[in-house]
Amino acid sequence: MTETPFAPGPAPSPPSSRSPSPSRERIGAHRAIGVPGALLAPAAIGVAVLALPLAALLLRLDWSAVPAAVTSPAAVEALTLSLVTAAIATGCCIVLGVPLALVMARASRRTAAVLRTLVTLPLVLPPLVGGIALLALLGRTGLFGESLALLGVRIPFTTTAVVIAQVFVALPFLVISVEGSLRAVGTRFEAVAASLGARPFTVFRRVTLPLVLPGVLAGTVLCFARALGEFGATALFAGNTAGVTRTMPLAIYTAFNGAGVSEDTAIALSLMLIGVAIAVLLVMRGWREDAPR
Amino acid sequence: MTGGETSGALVAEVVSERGAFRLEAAVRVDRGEVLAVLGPNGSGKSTLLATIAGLIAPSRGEVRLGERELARSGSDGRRTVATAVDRRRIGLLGQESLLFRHLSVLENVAFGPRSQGLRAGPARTEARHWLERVGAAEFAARRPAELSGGQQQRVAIARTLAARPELLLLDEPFAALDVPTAAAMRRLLGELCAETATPTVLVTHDPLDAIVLARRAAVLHDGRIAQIGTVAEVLGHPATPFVAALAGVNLALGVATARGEVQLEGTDGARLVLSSGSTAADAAARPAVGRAASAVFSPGAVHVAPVHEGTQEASAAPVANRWFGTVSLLQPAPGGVRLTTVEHPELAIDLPGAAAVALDLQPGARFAFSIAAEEVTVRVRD
Repeated sequence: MTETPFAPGPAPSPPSSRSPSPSRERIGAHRAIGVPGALLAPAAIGVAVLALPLAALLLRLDWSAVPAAVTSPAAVEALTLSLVTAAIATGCCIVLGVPLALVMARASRRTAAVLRTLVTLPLVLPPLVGGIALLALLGRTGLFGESLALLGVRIPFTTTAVVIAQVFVALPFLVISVEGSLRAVGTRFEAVAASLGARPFTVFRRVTLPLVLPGVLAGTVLCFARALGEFGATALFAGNTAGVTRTMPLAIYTAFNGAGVSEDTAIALSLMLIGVAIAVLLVMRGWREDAPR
Repeated sequence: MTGGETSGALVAEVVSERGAFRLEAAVRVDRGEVLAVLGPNGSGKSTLLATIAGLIAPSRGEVRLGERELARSGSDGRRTVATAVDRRRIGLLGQESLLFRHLSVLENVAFGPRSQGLRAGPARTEARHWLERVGAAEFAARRPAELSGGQQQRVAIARTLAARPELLLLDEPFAALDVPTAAAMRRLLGELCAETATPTVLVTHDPLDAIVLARRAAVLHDGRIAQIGTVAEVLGHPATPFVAALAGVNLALGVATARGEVQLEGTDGARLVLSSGSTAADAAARPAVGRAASAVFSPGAVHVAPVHEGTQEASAAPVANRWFGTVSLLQPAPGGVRLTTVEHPELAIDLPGAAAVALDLQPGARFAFSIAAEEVTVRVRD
């Protein structure tokens, strides 16, 4: 569930489409042009593939055990850790990802292709590989790890490691979403702003950023959801220490495999994570539909 | 540059490359002057504007605005001067208003003054002044998306002028507007250009823009300036088929004869001689014999008459301004019919609907054509 299928997010709808201007009506925009019947069956199966496992989860649930499971100190601790680390990781992704997206959108075609491959890599790699790579860089015997150890800094198996792992896997979602928005908006507004005398950073702050805000928001949601669900890289790079690195996915895994703990705890915790993810998506959707931009 | 006459003038002598396309152009626009730039798509109009605006760097040449040197590239392609877009003080106005949709109309217009260091309050005052000047003060609090295309374009004009540009680059600013709105905007822009005396380059497809707003016009063709002169000259005697079509006149390209006429070769050996009836008075201006020459006339000035059975058409020396032709194509024209002939497909002939009916125009029918000498102008071509 938290392995959010990647999509560039709802396309940032141009605000002008809100204005009821009849000239904007297109000839193809009629309901009469429907979906071919032959495609309805696979579409329905697609819905089932997505919805049935979640439904089964709910049916399996022993509701009487839920209150105890979700209010247990271990669960609250894991959820808090997850929310805090995912929020910090998302913040890092915005600070690093928006500039990176801008560089990619304005780079020459070849540079952009190289950067895009690099950015997409964590999306297609198993997160476990990401974890191993992070250990190779920052681990005790890693590339930077030894120097950091000399300075007394130890990153693996700390909360910092959790955040770094989440940034590693979530950054692509933000970058690709924002880059798409930047390309859709183009550079014409920026050229006009510059011609009016605005310096480059003013153009970025007052024109570029507001114009791609829908893309930034969509990217932020995906980024946060991905960070929240991060498991593989975290498990390898940060470990599974209660209160320090045991985020929700790790708590679920522990509960599921743990001796003497029933599967119900794992299911109840899963339910909690589903709830949080749905809440995030709904809040963002509501915000987007209210926003006039 | 010295002397008051040249202060504030745009001088651009540039070579710009965009992929395989190459623009080589020299233009000069004085203070208070509007230069219209005409040309088909892909002729280099936008490249010229982008080079002047600083959106692309010339590979050779220079751009000067008054005393300021905005761009200079040596023959080795090295840029020695390249003023950033935001320091050029050049206003851009295109077909789309490109208003910032996240800002109110007032904030859009205040954007320039704000960016140039004015505080929010004075910038808004300035913005209100310009909104009033373009007749859009009532929209100050609205978002651009709530305005019609014409209203948006008014606001865009206000925004451009509020930044106090020293040069205006207009790229078909009325092309997206309906006819009455375009007329109103044309009048407004004309007033404002005259009032601010800002040198202006106006790229357009519409001869009306050139006639109403500009005194001089340049015609771009394949990245070069094919013709430059007063609007009257350029539209009155176009050098390119593109401008001839814009101006709605026939451009007959041929060679000069000994009598100062233009002779055209049509298909199937058909020959047509056009004469402006010039006398000895302007003999000196006559094209040298055999050199490329052109004649211009209006499609509506041609007289069409039926050919009677047994008329002797062929003659060794064709009579000037009289010819025969077989109708190849009939098209609607304002108030009548436009026909072209098999012999001279590049020349259009218009006649009123009633005349067309009386003549029983049909493709394949043969007619006699004639034109009065005073309706024809003749030029030698370079």
